[in-house]
Amino acid sequence: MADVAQASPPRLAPRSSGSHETRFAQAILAPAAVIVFVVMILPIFANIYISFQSIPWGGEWSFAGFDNFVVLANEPLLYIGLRNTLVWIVVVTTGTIVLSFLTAALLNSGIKGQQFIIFLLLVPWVLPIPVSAVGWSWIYNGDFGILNYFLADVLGIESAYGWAWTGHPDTAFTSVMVTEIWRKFPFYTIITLAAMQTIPKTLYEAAEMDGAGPVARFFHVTLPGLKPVFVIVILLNLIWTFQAFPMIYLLTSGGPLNSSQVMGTLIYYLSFNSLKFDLAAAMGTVTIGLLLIITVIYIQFQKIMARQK
Amino acid sequence: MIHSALRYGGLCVILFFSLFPVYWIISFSVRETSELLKYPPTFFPQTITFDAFVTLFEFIDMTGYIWNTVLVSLAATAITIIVSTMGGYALARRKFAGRDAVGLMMLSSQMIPTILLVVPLSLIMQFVGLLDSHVGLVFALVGITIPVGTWMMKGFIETVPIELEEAAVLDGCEAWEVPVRVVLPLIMPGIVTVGMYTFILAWGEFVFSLTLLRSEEMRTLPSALAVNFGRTSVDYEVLMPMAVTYMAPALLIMSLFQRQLTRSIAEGALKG
Repeated sequence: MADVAQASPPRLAPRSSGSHETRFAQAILAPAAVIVFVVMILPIFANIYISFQSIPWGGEWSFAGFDNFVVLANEPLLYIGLRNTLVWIVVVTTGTIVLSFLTAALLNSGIKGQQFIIFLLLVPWVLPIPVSAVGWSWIYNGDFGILNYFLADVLGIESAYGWAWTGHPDTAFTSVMVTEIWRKFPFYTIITLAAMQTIPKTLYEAAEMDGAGPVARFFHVTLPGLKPVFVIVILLNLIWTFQAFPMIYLLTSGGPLNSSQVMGTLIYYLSFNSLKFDLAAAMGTVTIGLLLIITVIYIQFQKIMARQK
Repeated sequence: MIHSALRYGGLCVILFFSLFPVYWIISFSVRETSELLKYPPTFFPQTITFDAFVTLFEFIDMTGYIWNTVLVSLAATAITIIVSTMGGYALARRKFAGRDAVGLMMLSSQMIPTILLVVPLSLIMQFVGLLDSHVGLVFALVGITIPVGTWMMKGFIETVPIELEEAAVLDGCEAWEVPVRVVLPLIMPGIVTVGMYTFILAWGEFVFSLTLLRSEEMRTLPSALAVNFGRTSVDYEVLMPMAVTYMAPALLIMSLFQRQLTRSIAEGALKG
Protein backbone atom coordinates (compact mmCIF):
# COMPACT_ATOMS: atom_id res chain seq x y z
CA MET A 1 0.00 0.00 0.00
CA ALA A 2 2.81 2.32 0.89
CA ASP A 3 4.25 1.96 -2.57
CA VAL A 4 0.97 2.89 -4.13
CA ALA A 5 0.80 6.04 -2.05
CA GLN A 6 4.20 7.13 -3.26
CA ALA A 7 3.67 6.28 -6.90
CA SER A 8 4.73 9.05 -9.21
CA PRO A 9 1.96 11.45 -10.20
CA PRO A 10 0.24 10.35 -13.41
CA ARG A 11 0.81 12.20 -16.64
CA LEU A 12 -2.22 14.17 -17.54
CA ALA A 13 -3.74 14.68 -20.91
CA PRO A 14 -2.41 18.03 -22.11
CA ARG A 15 -5.73 18.83 -23.68
CA SER A 16 -7.95 21.51 -22.23
CA SER A 17 -9.86 20.25 -19.23
CA GLY A 18 -13.08 22.15 -19.49
CA SER A 19 -16.02 21.71 -17.16
CA HIS A 20 -17.40 19.04 -19.48
CA GLU A 21 -14.24 16.98 -19.01
CA THR A 22 -14.35 17.51 -15.25
CA ARG A 23 -17.94 16.38 -15.02
CA PHE A 24 -17.11 13.26 -17.04
CA ALA A 25 -14.23 12.38 -14.70
CA GLN A 26 -16.29 13.00 -11.58
CA ALA A 27 -19.15 10.94 -12.97
CA ILE A 28 -17.05 7.86 -13.67
CA LEU A 29 -15.34 8.08 -10.27
CA ALA A 30 -18.62 8.64 -8.41
CA PRO A 31 -19.78 5.00 -8.09
CA ALA A 32 -16.49 3.92 -6.50
CA ALA A 33 -16.45 6.96 -4.21
CA VAL A 34 -20.07 6.51 -3.09
CA ILE A 35 -19.75 2.78 -2.39
CA VAL A 36 -16.50 3.13 -0.43
CA PHE A 37 -17.95 6.05 1.51
CA VAL A 38 -21.17 4.23 2.44
CA VAL A 39 -19.53 0.89 3.34
CA MET A 40 -16.24 1.98 4.90
CA ILE A 41 -16.38 5.62 6.01
CA LEU A 42 -20.00 6.29 7.00
CA PRO A 43 -20.11 3.31 9.44
CA ILE A 44 -17.06 4.71 11.25
CA PHE A 45 -18.90 7.98 11.94
CA ALA A 46 -22.09 6.06 12.71
CA ASN A 47 -20.12 3.96 15.19
CA ILE A 48 -18.80 7.04 16.98
CA TYR A 49 -22.34 8.47 17.11
CA ILE A 50 -23.78 5.21 18.50
CA SER A 51 -21.07 5.05 21.15
CA PHE A 52 -22.53 8.20 22.71
CA GLN A 53 -26.07 6.77 22.75
CA SER A 54 -27.84 4.59 25.23
CA ILE A 55 -29.60 1.72 23.46
CA PRO A 56 -31.71 -0.31 25.90
CA TRP A 57 -32.92 -3.61 24.42
CA GLY A 58 -36.12 -2.82 22.54
CA GLY A 59 -36.24 0.74 23.89
CA GLU A 60 -35.70 4.22 22.53
CA TRP A 61 -32.22 5.58 21.81
CA SER A 62 -31.11 8.49 23.97
CA PHE A 63 -27.99 10.59 24.33
CA ALA A 64 -25.73 9.11 26.98
CA GLY A 65 -22.66 11.34 27.02
CA PHE A 66 -19.60 9.40 28.09
CA ASP A 67 -21.62 6.81 30.06
CA ASN A 68 -20.64 3.91 27.79
CA PHE A 69 -16.98 4.78 28.09
CA VAL A 70 -17.21 4.98 31.88
CA VAL A 71 -18.78 1.51 31.91
CA LEU A 72 -15.97 0.24 29.68
CA ALA A 73 -13.27 1.85 31.80
CA ASN A 74 -14.50 -0.15 34.79
CA GLU A 75 -14.67 -3.34 32.75
CA PRO A 76 -11.70 -5.73 33.17
CA LEU A 77 -12.46 -7.16 29.71
CA LEU A 78 -11.30 -3.91 28.09
CA TYR A 79 -7.87 -4.28 29.67
CA ILE A 80 -7.64 -7.96 28.71
CA GLY A 81 -8.49 -6.93 25.16
CA LEU A 82 -5.90 -4.14 25.12
CA ARG A 83 -3.18 -6.32 26.66
CA ASN A 84 -3.83 -9.20 24.25
CA THR A 85 -3.86 -6.82 21.29
CA LEU A 86 -0.42 -5.57 22.35
CA VAL A 87 0.89 -9.12 22.81
CA TRP A 88 -0.56 -10.05 19.41
CA ILE A 89 1.21 -7.09 17.76
CA VAL A 90 4.60 -7.98 19.24
CA VAL A 91 4.45 -11.76 18.76
CA VAL A 92 2.77 -11.93 15.36
CA THR A 93 4.92 -9.13 13.93
CA THR A 94 8.16 -10.67 15.21
CA GLY A 95 7.10 -14.13 14.06
CA THR A 96 6.15 -13.06 10.54
CA ILE A 97 9.30 -10.96 10.12
CA VAL A 98 11.67 -13.73 11.25
CA LEU A 99 9.94 -16.47 9.29
CA SER A 100 9.37 -14.43 6.12
CA PHE A 101 12.93 -13.11 6.17
CA LEU A 102 14.36 -16.60 6.62
CA THR A 103 12.20 -17.97 3.81
CA ALA A 104 13.03 -15.11 1.48
CA ALA A 105 16.76 -15.50 2.17
CA LEU A 106 16.55 -19.21 1.34
CA LEU A 107 14.54 -18.52 -1.82
CA ASN A 108 17.00 -15.84 -2.90
CA SER A 109 20.07 -18.06 -2.60
CA GLY A 110 19.90 -19.40 -6.15
CA ILE A 111 17.43 -22.15 -5.42
CA LYS A 112 15.91 -24.19 -8.25
CA GLY A 113 12.16 -24.04 -8.84
CA GLN A 114 11.70 -20.73 -7.04
CA GLN A 115 8.37 -19.97 -8.73
CA PHE A 116 6.90 -23.35 -7.81
CA ILE A 117 7.98 -23.05 -4.17
CA ILE A 118 6.43 -19.56 -3.99
CA PHE A 119 3.20 -21.03 -5.37
CA LEU A 120 3.17 -23.70 -2.65
CA LEU A 121 4.01 -21.15 0.05
CA LEU A 122 1.10 -18.92 -0.97
CA VAL A 123 -1.49 -21.64 -0.40
CA PRO A 124 -2.13 -20.80 3.30
CA TRP A 125 -2.58 -17.13 2.40
CA VAL A 126 -5.21 -17.91 -0.24
CA LEU A 127 -7.02 -20.48 1.89
CA PRO A 128 -10.30 -19.09 3.30
CA ILE A 129 -9.85 -18.49 7.03
CA PRO A 130 -12.66 -20.85 8.16
CA VAL A 131 -10.93 -23.68 6.26
CA SER A 132 -7.61 -22.97 7.99
CA ALA A 133 -9.38 -22.84 11.35
CA VAL A 134 -10.96 -26.27 10.78
CA GLY A 135 -7.60 -27.78 9.82
CA TRP A 136 -5.64 -26.29 12.71
CA SER A 137 -8.29 -27.13 15.30
CA TRP A 138 -7.97 -30.76 14.24
CA ILE A 139 -4.18 -30.57 14.60
CA TYR A 140 -4.53 -28.92 18.04
CA ASN A 141 -7.25 -31.36 19.17
CA GLY A 142 -6.49 -32.71 22.63
CA ASP A 143 -7.54 -36.32 22.21
CA PHE A 144 -6.98 -37.07 18.53
CA GLY A 145 -4.67 -34.28 17.37
CA ILE A 146 -1.44 -35.10 15.60
CA LEU A 147 0.43 -32.40 17.55
CA ASN A 148 -0.13 -34.23 20.83
CA TYR A 149 0.71 -37.54 19.20
CA PHE A 150 4.02 -36.06 18.07
CA LEU A 151 4.76 -34.42 21.43
CA ALA A 152 3.66 -37.28 23.67
CA ASP A 153 4.39 -40.45 21.72
CA VAL A 154 7.32 -39.38 19.55
CA LEU A 155 9.11 -36.89 21.81
CA GLY A 156 7.92 -38.48 25.02
CA ILE A 157 6.46 -35.38 26.67
CA GLU A 158 3.93 -37.05 28.97
CA SER A 159 2.03 -33.88 29.89
CA ALA A 160 0.97 -33.39 26.27
CA TYR A 161 -1.48 -36.30 26.53
CA GLY A 162 -4.99 -34.96 26.09
CA TRP A 163 -3.86 -31.32 26.22
CA ALA A 164 -6.50 -29.23 24.41
CA TRP A 165 -4.34 -26.49 22.88
CA THR A 166 -7.14 -24.10 21.99
CA GLY A 167 -9.22 -25.11 25.02
CA HIS A 168 -6.76 -24.22 27.76
CA PRO A 169 -6.22 -20.61 28.94
CA ASP A 170 -2.43 -21.08 29.00
CA THR A 171 -2.09 -22.06 25.36
CA ALA A 172 -5.24 -20.84 23.54
CA PHE A 173 -3.96 -17.40 22.56
CA THR A 174 -0.50 -18.68 21.61
CA SER A 175 -2.07 -21.37 19.41
CA VAL A 176 -4.07 -18.76 17.50
CA MET A 177 -0.99 -16.56 17.09
CA VAL A 178 0.99 -19.47 15.63
CA THR A 179 -1.85 -20.11 13.18
CA GLU A 180 -1.96 -16.44 12.22
CA ILE A 181 1.81 -16.35 11.61
CA TRP A 182 1.37 -19.48 9.48
CA ARG A 183 -1.31 -17.70 7.45
CA LYS A 184 0.44 -14.36 7.03
CA PHE A 185 4.15 -15.05 6.56
CA PRO A 186 3.86 -16.08 2.85
CA PHE A 187 2.56 -12.61 2.00
CA TYR A 188 5.48 -10.91 3.74
CA THR A 189 7.93 -13.41 2.25
CA ILE A 190 7.05 -12.16 -1.22
CA ILE A 191 7.48 -8.51 -0.20
CA THR A 192 10.83 -9.28 1.45
CA LEU A 193 12.01 -11.37 -1.50
CA ALA A 194 11.15 -8.56 -3.92
CA ALA A 195 13.13 -6.12 -1.77
CA MET A 196 16.11 -8.51 -1.62
CA GLN A 197 16.15 -8.76 -5.38
CA THR A 198 16.43 -5.00 -5.74
CA ILE A 199 19.74 -4.94 -3.83
CA PRO A 200 22.32 -4.55 -6.63
CA LYS A 201 24.63 -7.53 -7.15
CA THR A 202 27.54 -5.12 -7.56
CA LEU A 203 27.24 -4.19 -3.87
CA TYR A 204 27.90 -7.81 -2.93
CA GLU A 205 30.77 -8.05 -5.40
CA ALA A 206 32.34 -4.86 -4.06
CA ALA A 207 32.01 -6.10 -0.49
CA GLU A 208 33.59 -9.41 -1.47
CA MET A 209 36.54 -7.64 -3.09
CA ASP A 210 36.99 -5.69 0.12
CA GLY A 211 37.37 -9.02 1.87
CA ALA A 212 33.94 -9.25 3.48
CA GLY A 213 32.86 -12.83 4.26
CA PRO A 214 29.29 -14.11 3.89
CA VAL A 215 28.40 -13.04 7.43
CA ALA A 216 29.84 -9.54 7.00
CA ARG A 217 28.10 -9.21 3.63
CA PHE A 218 24.83 -10.20 5.28
CA PHE A 219 25.14 -7.58 8.02
CA HIS A 220 26.58 -4.79 5.88
CA VAL A 221 24.78 -5.26 2.57
CA THR A 222 21.60 -7.35 2.99
CA LEU A 223 20.26 -5.96 6.27
CA PRO A 224 20.73 -2.25 5.45
CA GLY A 225 19.15 -2.86 2.04
CA LEU A 226 16.13 -4.40 3.70
CA LYS A 227 15.54 -1.68 6.28
CA PRO A 228 12.72 -0.02 4.30
CA VAL A 229 10.88 -3.31 3.85
CA PHE A 230 11.16 -4.12 7.56
CA VAL A 231 9.57 -0.77 8.39
CA ILE A 232 6.73 -1.49 5.93
CA VAL A 233 6.21 -4.99 7.32
CA ILE A 234 6.07 -3.69 10.91
CA LEU A 235 3.61 -0.92 9.98
CA LEU A 236 1.38 -3.21 7.91
CA ASN A 237 1.31 -5.65 10.83
CA LEU A 238 0.37 -2.82 13.19
CA ILE A 239 -2.42 -1.61 10.95
CA TRP A 240 -3.82 -5.07 10.24
CA THR A 241 -3.59 -6.23 13.86
CA PHE A 242 -7.26 -5.44 14.29
CA GLN A 243 -8.06 -7.88 11.49
CA ALA A 244 -7.20 -10.57 14.08
CA PHE A 245 -10.88 -11.20 14.68
CA PRO A 246 -11.77 -14.06 12.26
CA MET A 247 -9.08 -16.54 13.30
CA ILE A 248 -9.57 -15.92 17.03
CA TYR A 249 -13.35 -16.08 16.74
CA LEU A 250 -13.18 -19.40 14.92
CA LEU A 251 -10.46 -21.13 16.95
CA THR A 252 -11.18 -20.00 20.53
CA SER A 253 -14.11 -17.53 20.45
CA GLY A 254 -12.00 -15.33 22.72
CA GLY A 255 -11.94 -17.98 25.42
CA PRO A 256 -11.42 -19.99 27.45
CA LEU A 257 -12.03 -17.67 30.41
CA ASN A 258 -11.57 -14.68 28.05
CA SER A 259 -7.87 -15.54 27.77
CA SER A 260 -7.78 -14.80 24.04
CA GLN A 261 -10.09 -11.79 23.81
CA VAL A 262 -8.87 -8.93 21.61
CA MET A 263 -10.69 -5.72 20.68
CA GLY A 264 -12.34 -7.39 17.66
CA THR A 265 -13.77 -10.36 19.53
CA LEU A 266 -15.02 -8.07 22.32
CA ILE A 267 -16.88 -5.89 19.80
CA TYR A 268 -18.49 -9.01 18.36
CA TYR A 269 -19.55 -10.46 21.72
CA LEU A 270 -20.85 -7.19 23.13
CA SER A 271 -23.02 -6.69 20.06
CA PHE A 272 -24.08 -10.05 18.67
CA ASN A 273 -24.08 -12.10 21.90
CA SER A 274 -24.92 -9.59 24.65
CA LEU A 275 -26.86 -7.29 22.28
CA LYS A 276 -25.26 -4.25 23.96
CA PHE A 277 -24.75 -2.32 20.76
CA ASP A 278 -23.92 0.92 22.59
CA LEU A 279 -21.07 -0.70 24.55
CA ALA A 280 -19.85 -2.49 21.44
CA ALA A 281 -19.78 0.83 19.60
CA ALA A 282 -17.83 2.39 22.48
CA MET A 283 -15.32 -0.47 22.23
CA GLY A 284 -15.19 0.29 18.51
CA THR A 285 -14.53 3.97 19.16
CA VAL A 286 -11.60 3.04 21.43
CA THR A 287 -10.26 0.88 18.59
CA ILE A 288 -10.70 3.75 16.12
CA GLY A 289 -8.64 5.91 18.50
CA LEU A 290 -5.86 3.31 18.55
CA LEU A 291 -5.97 3.09 14.74
CA LEU A 292 -5.63 6.87 14.48
CA ILE A 293 -2.54 6.81 16.70
CA ILE A 294 -1.04 4.06 14.51
CA THR A 295 -1.92 6.07 11.39
CA VAL A 296 -0.08 9.13 12.71
CA ILE A 297 2.99 6.98 13.41
CA TYR A 298 2.65 5.49 9.92
CA ILE A 299 2.54 8.90 8.24
CA GLN A 300 5.52 10.14 10.27
CA PHE A 301 7.51 7.07 9.25
CA GLN A 302 6.61 7.64 5.60
CA LYS A 303 7.89 11.20 5.84
CA ILE A 304 11.17 10.05 7.41
CA MET A 305 11.56 7.35 4.77
CA ALA A 306 10.82 9.80 1.97
CA ARG A 307 13.47 12.18 3.31
CA GLN A 308 16.06 9.38 3.38
CA LYS A 309 15.56 8.54 -0.28
CA MET B 1 26.53 -18.60 0.40
CA ILE B 2 24.66 -21.10 2.53
CA HIS B 3 25.43 -24.78 2.06
CA SER B 4 23.11 -26.22 -0.55
CA ALA B 5 21.81 -29.17 1.51
CA LEU B 6 21.02 -26.80 4.36
CA ARG B 7 19.15 -24.47 2.00
CA TYR B 8 16.93 -27.19 0.55
CA GLY B 9 16.52 -28.75 3.99
CA GLY B 10 15.40 -25.43 5.49
CA LEU B 11 12.92 -24.81 2.69
CA CYS B 12 11.53 -28.33 3.09
CA VAL B 13 10.86 -27.70 6.80
CA ILE B 14 9.13 -24.38 6.01
CA LEU B 15 7.09 -25.96 3.20
CA PHE B 16 6.06 -28.77 5.53
CA PHE B 17 4.86 -26.22 8.10
CA SER B 18 2.94 -24.36 5.39
CA LEU B 19 1.33 -27.29 3.65
CA PHE B 20 0.79 -29.87 6.38
CA PRO B 21 -2.49 -28.32 7.65
CA VAL B 22 -3.79 -28.24 4.07
CA TYR B 23 -2.79 -31.86 3.51
CA TRP B 24 -4.36 -32.80 6.83
CA ILE B 25 -7.78 -31.38 5.84
CA ILE B 26 -7.75 -33.08 2.43
CA SER B 27 -6.48 -36.32 3.88
CA PHE B 28 -9.22 -36.44 6.51
CA SER B 29 -11.93 -35.64 3.98
CA VAL B 30 -11.25 -38.93 2.16
CA ARG B 31 -10.88 -41.25 5.18
CA GLU B 32 -13.47 -43.70 6.37
CA THR B 33 -15.60 -42.65 9.33
CA SER B 34 -14.01 -45.29 11.53
CA GLU B 35 -10.59 -43.79 10.82
CA LEU B 36 -11.46 -40.24 11.90
CA LEU B 37 -11.38 -40.78 15.63
CA LYS B 38 -8.41 -43.11 15.71
CA TYR B 39 -5.44 -42.63 17.97
CA PRO B 40 -2.65 -42.48 17.00
CA PRO B 41 -3.64 -40.81 13.70
CA THR B 42 -1.91 -42.27 10.63
CA PHE B 43 -0.15 -39.92 8.24
CA PHE B 44 -1.75 -41.52 5.17
CA PRO B 45 -5.39 -42.64 4.93
CA GLN B 46 -5.64 -46.43 5.09
CA THR B 47 -8.44 -46.49 2.56
CA ILE B 48 -9.51 -43.64 0.32
CA THR B 49 -13.24 -43.07 0.06
CA PHE B 50 -15.45 -40.20 -1.07
CA ASP B 51 -18.39 -41.31 1.06
CA ALA B 52 -18.12 -38.22 3.25
CA PHE B 53 -18.72 -35.97 0.22
CA VAL B 54 -21.74 -38.03 -0.83
CA THR B 55 -23.15 -37.83 2.70
CA LEU B 56 -22.46 -34.12 2.82
CA PHE B 57 -24.41 -33.35 -0.34
CA GLU B 58 -27.24 -35.70 0.70
CA PHE B 59 -27.91 -34.43 4.20
CA ILE B 60 -26.81 -30.81 4.09
CA ASP B 61 -27.89 -28.17 1.60
CA MET B 62 -24.40 -27.92 0.11
CA THR B 63 -25.69 -27.10 -3.37
CA GLY B 64 -27.54 -24.16 -1.89
CA TYR B 65 -24.47 -22.89 -0.02
CA ILE B 66 -22.27 -23.29 -3.11
CA TRP B 67 -24.81 -21.52 -5.30
CA ASN B 68 -25.12 -18.65 -2.81
CA THR B 69 -21.35 -18.25 -2.55
CA VAL B 70 -20.85 -18.38 -6.33
CA LEU B 71 -23.65 -15.86 -6.87
CA VAL B 72 -22.35 -13.42 -4.26
CA SER B 73 -18.69 -13.73 -5.34
CA LEU B 74 -19.41 -13.37 -9.05
CA ALA B 75 -21.69 -10.38 -8.49
CA ALA B 76 -19.04 -8.70 -6.32
CA THR B 77 -16.36 -9.43 -8.93
CA ALA B 78 -18.41 -8.05 -11.82
CA ILE B 79 -19.35 -4.87 -9.97
CA THR B 80 -15.78 -4.35 -8.77
CA ILE B 81 -14.36 -4.72 -12.27
CA ILE B 82 -16.77 -2.19 -13.80
CA VAL B 83 -16.63 0.37 -10.99
CA SER B 84 -12.84 0.07 -10.48
CA THR B 85 -12.04 0.43 -14.17
CA MET B 86 -14.10 3.61 -14.39
CA GLY B 87 -12.68 5.00 -11.13
CA GLY B 88 -9.13 3.96 -12.00
CA TYR B 89 -9.37 5.76 -15.33
CA ALA B 90 -10.54 8.98 -13.68
CA LEU B 91 -7.75 8.81 -11.08
CA ALA B 92 -5.07 7.99 -13.65
CA ARG B 93 -5.95 10.40 -16.43
CA ARG B 94 -7.89 13.39 -15.19
CA LYS B 95 -7.28 16.20 -12.76
CA PHE B 96 -10.39 17.56 -11.12
CA ALA B 97 -11.84 18.82 -7.84
CA GLY B 98 -12.17 16.03 -5.30
CA ARG B 99 -9.73 13.67 -6.99
CA ASP B 100 -7.17 13.70 -4.21
CA ALA B 101 -9.84 13.46 -1.51
CA VAL B 102 -11.30 10.32 -3.10
CA GLY B 103 -7.82 8.86 -3.55
CA LEU B 104 -7.05 9.46 0.13
CA MET B 105 -10.37 7.90 1.14
CA MET B 106 -9.59 4.79 -0.91
CA LEU B 107 -6.16 4.42 0.68
CA SER B 108 -7.25 5.04 4.25
CA SER B 109 -10.20 2.66 3.91
CA GLN B 110 -7.60 -0.11 3.58
CA MET B 111 -6.68 0.40 7.21
CA ILE B 112 -10.19 -0.14 8.56
CA PRO B 113 -10.73 -3.63 10.01
CA THR B 114 -14.05 -5.13 8.90
CA ILE B 115 -15.05 -6.08 12.45
CA LEU B 116 -15.19 -2.37 13.23
CA LEU B 117 -17.86 -1.93 10.53
CA VAL B 118 -20.25 -4.74 11.43
CA VAL B 119 -22.12 -3.06 14.29
CA PRO B 120 -22.99 0.18 12.44
CA LEU B 121 -23.29 -1.61 9.08
CA SER B 122 -25.80 -4.17 10.34
CA LEU B 123 -27.85 -1.36 11.91
CA ILE B 124 -27.71 0.58 8.61
CA MET B 125 -28.58 -2.55 6.60
CA GLN B 126 -31.50 -3.24 8.91
CA PHE B 127 -32.70 0.33 8.47
CA VAL B 128 -32.70 0.07 4.65
CA GLY B 129 -34.04 -3.51 4.72
CA LEU B 130 -30.94 -5.18 3.29
CA LEU B 131 -29.97 -7.21 6.36
CA ASP B 132 -29.97 -10.95 5.66
CA SER B 133 -29.97 -10.45 1.89
CA HIS B 134 -27.41 -11.23 -0.80
CA VAL B 135 -27.75 -7.70 -2.19
CA GLY B 136 -26.67 -6.28 1.17
CA LEU B 137 -23.74 -8.70 1.42
CA VAL B 138 -22.55 -7.92 -2.13
CA PHE B 139 -22.77 -4.20 -1.37
CA ALA B 140 -20.62 -4.63 1.74
CA LEU B 141 -18.14 -6.87 -0.12
CA VAL B 142 -17.54 -4.43 -2.96
CA GLY B 143 -16.82 -1.80 -0.30
CA ILE B 144 -13.69 -3.82 0.54
CA THR B 145 -12.71 -4.81 -2.99
CA ILE B 146 -13.28 -1.54 -4.88
CA PRO B 147 -10.49 0.48 -3.18
CA VAL B 148 -7.92 -2.23 -4.02
CA GLY B 149 -9.38 -2.73 -7.49
CA THR B 150 -9.37 0.99 -8.27
CA TRP B 151 -5.73 1.39 -7.20
CA MET B 152 -4.71 -1.61 -9.26
CA MET B 153 -6.62 -0.36 -12.31
CA LYS B 154 -5.12 3.12 -11.89
CA GLY B 155 -1.67 1.52 -12.06
CA PHE B 156 -2.53 -0.52 -15.17
CA ILE B 157 -4.05 2.46 -16.97
CA GLU B 158 -0.99 4.60 -16.26
CA THR B 159 1.11 2.11 -18.26
CA VAL B 160 -0.92 2.84 -21.42
CA PRO B 161 0.88 5.61 -23.38
CA ILE B 162 -1.15 8.80 -23.31
CA GLU B 163 -0.12 9.45 -26.95
CA LEU B 164 -2.48 6.66 -28.07
CA GLU B 165 -5.39 8.53 -26.55
CA GLU B 166 -4.29 11.85 -28.05
CA ALA B 167 -4.03 10.26 -31.49
CA ALA B 168 -7.56 8.88 -31.13
CA VAL B 169 -8.86 12.34 -30.26
CA LEU B 170 -7.15 13.75 -33.35
CA ASP B 171 -8.80 11.02 -35.39
CA GLY B 172 -12.15 12.37 -34.27
CA CYS B 173 -13.04 10.09 -31.35
CA GLU B 174 -15.48 11.53 -28.81
CA ALA B 175 -14.05 12.04 -25.28
CA TRP B 176 -16.08 9.21 -23.77
CA GLU B 177 -15.16 6.90 -26.65
CA VAL B 178 -11.40 7.12 -26.05
CA PRO B 179 -11.22 5.11 -22.83
CA VAL B 180 -13.54 2.42 -24.19
CA ARG B 181 -12.02 2.05 -27.69
CA VAL B 182 -8.34 2.71 -26.95
CA VAL B 183 -7.56 2.00 -23.30
CA LEU B 184 -9.93 -0.87 -22.51
CA PRO B 185 -8.48 -3.40 -25.00
CA LEU B 186 -4.96 -2.66 -23.71
CA ILE B 187 -5.73 -3.20 -20.03
CA MET B 188 -7.44 -6.59 -20.38
CA PRO B 189 -4.62 -8.35 -18.45
CA GLY B 190 -5.15 -5.82 -15.66
CA ILE B 191 -8.87 -6.48 -15.61
CA VAL B 192 -8.20 -10.22 -15.36
CA THR B 193 -5.83 -9.63 -12.42
CA VAL B 194 -8.35 -7.44 -10.60
CA GLY B 195 -11.11 -9.96 -11.29
CA MET B 196 -9.02 -12.85 -10.01
CA TYR B 197 -8.05 -11.03 -6.85
CA THR B 198 -11.57 -9.80 -6.17
CA PHE B 199 -13.01 -13.27 -6.62
CA ILE B 200 -10.51 -14.83 -4.19
CA LEU B 201 -11.21 -12.05 -1.66
CA ALA B 202 -15.00 -12.25 -2.01
CA TRP B 203 -14.97 -16.06 -1.96
CA GLY B 204 -12.96 -16.13 1.26
CA GLU B 205 -14.54 -13.16 3.05
CA PHE B 206 -15.82 -14.21 6.46
CA VAL B 207 -16.78 -11.35 8.78
CA PHE B 208 -19.56 -9.83 6.64
CA SER B 209 -21.01 -13.25 5.73
CA LEU B 210 -21.12 -14.13 9.43
CA THR B 211 -22.82 -10.94 10.58
CA LEU B 212 -24.97 -9.74 7.66
CA LEU B 213 -26.58 -13.09 6.80
CA ARG B 214 -28.95 -14.63 9.33
CA SER B 215 -31.27 -17.20 7.76
CA GLU B 216 -30.35 -20.69 6.67
CA GLU B 217 -31.35 -20.30 3.00
CA MET B 218 -29.13 -17.21 2.61
CA ARG B 219 -25.98 -18.84 4.00
CA THR B 220 -22.76 -18.87 2.06
CA LEU B 221 -20.00 -21.46 2.52
CA PRO B 222 -17.89 -19.49 5.06
CA SER B 223 -20.79 -18.88 7.42
CA ALA B 224 -22.14 -22.41 6.92
CA LEU B 225 -18.72 -23.79 7.78
CA ALA B 226 -18.45 -21.51 10.82
CA VAL B 227 -21.91 -22.47 12.05
CA ASN B 228 -21.11 -26.20 11.80
CA PHE B 229 -17.73 -25.56 13.40
CA GLY B 230 -19.28 -23.63 16.28
CA ARG B 231 -21.64 -26.42 17.32
CA THR B 232 -20.92 -27.94 20.72
CA SER B 233 -20.35 -31.37 19.19
CA VAL B 234 -18.00 -30.61 16.32
CA ASP B 235 -18.50 -33.14 13.54
CA TYR B 236 -15.31 -33.41 11.53
CA GLU B 237 -16.94 -35.95 9.24
CA VAL B 238 -19.01 -33.04 7.90
CA LEU B 239 -16.43 -30.27 8.33
CA MET B 240 -13.53 -31.81 6.41
CA PRO B 241 -15.29 -32.43 3.06
CA MET B 242 -17.08 -29.10 3.46
CA ALA B 243 -13.73 -27.31 3.94
CA VAL B 244 -12.24 -29.08 0.91
CA THR B 245 -15.22 -28.13 -1.26
CA TYR B 246 -14.93 -24.55 -0.08
CA MET B 247 -11.18 -24.15 -0.66
CA ALA B 248 -11.03 -25.87 -4.06
CA PRO B 249 -12.15 -22.92 -6.26
CA ALA B 250 -9.85 -20.46 -4.45
CA LEU B 251 -6.85 -22.75 -4.96
CA LEU B 252 -7.79 -23.40 -8.59
CA ILE B 253 -7.94 -19.69 -9.42
CA MET B 254 -4.73 -19.06 -7.51
CA SER B 255 -2.88 -21.72 -9.49
CA LEU B 256 -4.11 -20.23 -12.78
CA PHE B 257 -3.02 -16.69 -11.89
CA GLN B 258 -0.07 -17.27 -9.59
CA ARG B 259 2.29 -14.99 -11.54
CA GLN B 260 -0.09 -12.01 -11.46
CA LEU B 261 -0.85 -12.60 -7.80
CA THR B 262 2.84 -12.67 -6.80
CA ARG B 263 3.58 -9.54 -8.81
CA SER B 264 0.66 -7.63 -7.28
CA ILE B 265 1.80 -8.52 -3.75
CA ALA B 266 5.40 -7.50 -4.50
CA GLU B 267 4.24 -4.17 -5.93
CA GLY B 268 2.37 -3.47 -2.73
CA ALA B 269 -1.08 -3.40 -4.22
CA LEU B 270 -2.69 -6.11 -2.10
CA LYS B 271 -3.41 -6.42 1.57
CA GLY B 272 -2.28 -9.14 3.96
